[in-house]
Amino acid sequence: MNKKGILFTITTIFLLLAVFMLSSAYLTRNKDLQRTVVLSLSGNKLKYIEDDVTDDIYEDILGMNIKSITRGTDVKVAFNFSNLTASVNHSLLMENYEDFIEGLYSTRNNLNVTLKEFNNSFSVSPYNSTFILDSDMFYGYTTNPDYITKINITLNLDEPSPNLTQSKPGDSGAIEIAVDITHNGGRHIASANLAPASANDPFYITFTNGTRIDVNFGTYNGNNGVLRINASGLQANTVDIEYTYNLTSEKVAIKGGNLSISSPVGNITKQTQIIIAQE
Amino acid sequence: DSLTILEKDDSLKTAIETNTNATLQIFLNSLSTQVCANLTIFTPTQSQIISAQKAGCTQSNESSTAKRTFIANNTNIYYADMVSWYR
Repeated sequence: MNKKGILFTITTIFLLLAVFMLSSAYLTRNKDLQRTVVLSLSGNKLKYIEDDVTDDIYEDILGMNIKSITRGTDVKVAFNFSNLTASVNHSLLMENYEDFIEGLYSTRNNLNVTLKEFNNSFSVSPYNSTFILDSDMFYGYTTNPDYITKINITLNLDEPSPNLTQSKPGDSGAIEIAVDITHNGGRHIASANLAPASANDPFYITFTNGTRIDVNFGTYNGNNGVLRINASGLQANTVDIEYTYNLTSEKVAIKGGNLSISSPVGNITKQTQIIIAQE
Repeated sequence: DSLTILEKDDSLKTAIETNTNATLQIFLNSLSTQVCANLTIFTPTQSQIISAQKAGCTQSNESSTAKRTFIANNTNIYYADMVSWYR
């Protein structure tokens, strides 16, 4: 009888142990599944937020548009933008958007969304060219201007007064700069082969009411190969720019600032660079 | 989702620039029968600009909300809230 009792007790203990282990395994698996679901939902939401915050934002705020990136015996990157004029504060427009995203937008989405190095500039890799739209000024910096073989600049001006004088720089080097400026009184087409490390004279047109447009390529503030366009007192309705670079095997990407999204749900963070366009 | 479609096909932008909810109303009315939705556009100062609700729907306590930001009217910032629920 005692033996039967001992056997019954041992069997019961084993059975209870088995039930306990099964329950424990079920609970652990359930927790993992729940976390996977939460992370999946959070991941989808972060992807949605990334698209919402960054999609077409440079186009919408800066009025810029990447026209093409073409690869042949060289690489051509073409883009345009509108409203190069003192009445538009490109820097402030980008700051306002950043403030909105990091403030009200983050709060209403229960997320912490931040934009870093998000401003009125964008860059082209692998050529290390940085382009800045700053009211009536446009700047194009390239760390190593030896990559550049040609730049085409086409401007359409909103200037009612007749043109007074126009000029172009003399040849000084090997980078071809071609300018095509249309205004109400006519058109100025000119080109010159310029050295990036020289303080070259500008392409320019002056108008009878004192306004002028300048296109300059060369050394500026200690940097070589800087393209500058200055719409002084007038508005360039459209600015089309095409850079031709030496061929490299690395794919071209046009990049903006960085986006970071933190979600308290699942404690996850997504960080990404804004890619405006790429090959 | 619906707001992404409305942003990418410029319906949100058009609603602001033409100051009418007509396109939004057509979109909401075209949602499947059992789905109801209400769409409101705000400025960054949370002023309500435009709103539309699917015809024949009344607000429900059980709903989900989606948000979308967009640029219209010459670089001005707006955002849209879309509340949706089942009949």
